[in-house]
Amino acid sequence: MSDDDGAIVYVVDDDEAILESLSMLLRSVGLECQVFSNATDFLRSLDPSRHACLLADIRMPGMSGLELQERLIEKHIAIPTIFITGHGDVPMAVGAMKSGALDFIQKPFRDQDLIDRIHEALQLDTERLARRQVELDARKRVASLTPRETEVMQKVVEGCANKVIALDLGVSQRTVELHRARVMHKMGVRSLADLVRLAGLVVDD
Amino acid sequence: MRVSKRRQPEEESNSELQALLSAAVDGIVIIDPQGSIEAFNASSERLFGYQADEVIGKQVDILMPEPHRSSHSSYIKNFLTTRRAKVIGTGREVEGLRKDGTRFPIWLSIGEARKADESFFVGFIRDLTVQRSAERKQAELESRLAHVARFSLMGEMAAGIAHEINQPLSAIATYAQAGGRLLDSDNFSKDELKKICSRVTEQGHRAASVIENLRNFIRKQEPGKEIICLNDIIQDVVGLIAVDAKNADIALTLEYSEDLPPIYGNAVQIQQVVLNLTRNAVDAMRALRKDKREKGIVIRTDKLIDGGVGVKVTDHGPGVAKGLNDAVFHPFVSTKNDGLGVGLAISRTIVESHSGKLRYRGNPMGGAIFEADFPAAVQGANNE
Repeated sequence: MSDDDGAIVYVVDDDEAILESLSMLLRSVGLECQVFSNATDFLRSLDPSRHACLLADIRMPGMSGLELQERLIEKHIAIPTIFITGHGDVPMAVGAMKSGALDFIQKPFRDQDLIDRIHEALQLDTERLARRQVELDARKRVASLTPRETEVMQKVVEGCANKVIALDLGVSQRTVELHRARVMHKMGVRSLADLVRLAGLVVDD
Repeated sequence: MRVSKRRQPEEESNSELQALLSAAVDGIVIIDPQGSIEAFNASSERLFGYQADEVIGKQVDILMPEPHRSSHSSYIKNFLTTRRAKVIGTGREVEGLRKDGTRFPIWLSIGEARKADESFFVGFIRDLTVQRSAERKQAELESRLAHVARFSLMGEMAAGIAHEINQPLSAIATYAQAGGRLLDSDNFSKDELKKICSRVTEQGHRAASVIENLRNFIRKQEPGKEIICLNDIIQDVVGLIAVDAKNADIALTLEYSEDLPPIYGNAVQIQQVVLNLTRNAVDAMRALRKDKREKGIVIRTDKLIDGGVGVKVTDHGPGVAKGLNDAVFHPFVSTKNDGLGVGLAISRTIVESHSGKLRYRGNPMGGAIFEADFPAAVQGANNE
């Protein structure tokens, strides 16, 4: 699986034996993994820039799998997640799926099913990383704008005409045009549509 | 019914005595200071199967089994010299011996009477056979009911127990699959495989121990009692309680007091009471927010001021609704959707059959406190 080179599987489960057996299984097929006995420790050492997926028990004392999922959503870390569930946990698992979990897998599981799902998750994570790259890039570009350029960009994105912007900022229309050209250049876009999309990635936070 | 010749001079009072003796529902036996039977009424004839003719003038010890039989004459002598009464003036439960050799439980009370400077003794005998067999039947029924309730308790805990067995089974399956894959690859060490084998063994034992806990608790038990230590018998079911609490993500704290006096009781039944109380506590707290669940359930044993021992189960749930209070102990009163409402009723029956008390009071910090108190076992006796 050359695609998954350097990728890591985070495993979070409060049961020591499950944790150890899972890590043995994953290593036996050449998957690198890092194990955690609780969700808090995992959140502390999670590296969002790494190519990874998460395999987590849904039922844990302290922070449960579902709460962990909420935290990740709050932090905008959309790492592909597979939940491990017991027999009676199906309603919980359905909730997790609705909140964007990739899948859930019932204990005891067939190893091949689990491994297939993990490869799928890691594949999906390459898309997350690509999006993340674009977003980081957009942030960097926005950061390079002067305060005046940022102001102009916001008004452009809101759909204001140059004439209106000039009036609002108390500058000439020609100055607005110059700012606007520099914004397009610094943001690395050619069309208004691209600018709106890129700015949208950043505005959220 | 006959009264012996020695009392015949007083014809008048004798016939009144005759009437009294014949009418009595209880057995009445009169003996002289030598233990010789002087009167034996109709009820006695019915109880012991002797005709009065057969026993009058005989030693009263023919009506009692060993060891009293051999010592009876010394009982009377002791009393006449020391005047220290053991049975006389009071009563006690003993066994009677019928003509056919069978024994039967009786309540025997003896009074002393004097006539012409001579003591004689009147024994009143009440047959306890029916009462005893009713009691035995009730104890048997209670024991069977308790057994059924243990199953229903386990049924309520089934999800948690299933999870607790499924964990090691899943681990075993995963270890084995990892081992299989290691064998398929050429890149494995003998040590690694050995480790997997030992882990599989451990997890097998782990699953078996959950089942063992369960089996100990559910096995059918005679209603017999023995000298037991409250801490020890609670410790034996902590595994099951912990499974239940963990399953609902509720903290569980144990506080054992040291040096508890032993109690005289049935271990499985007392365990059932404790498990029932913790089960209720888990249900009361299951739906609460995490910060409340973290306050958890506390099981605490205590030596009581009156010398007895108590176990207290405290939860931090909503408590028992005002106005319900003691009604929670009534059968078929349940605040749960899936509850039968017999758990607390049976628990109270069990505790009371141990001469103890099961009480509810509100927790000032919010929640419920259930206390089961038991008297300490009497040292050197079996509390009979």
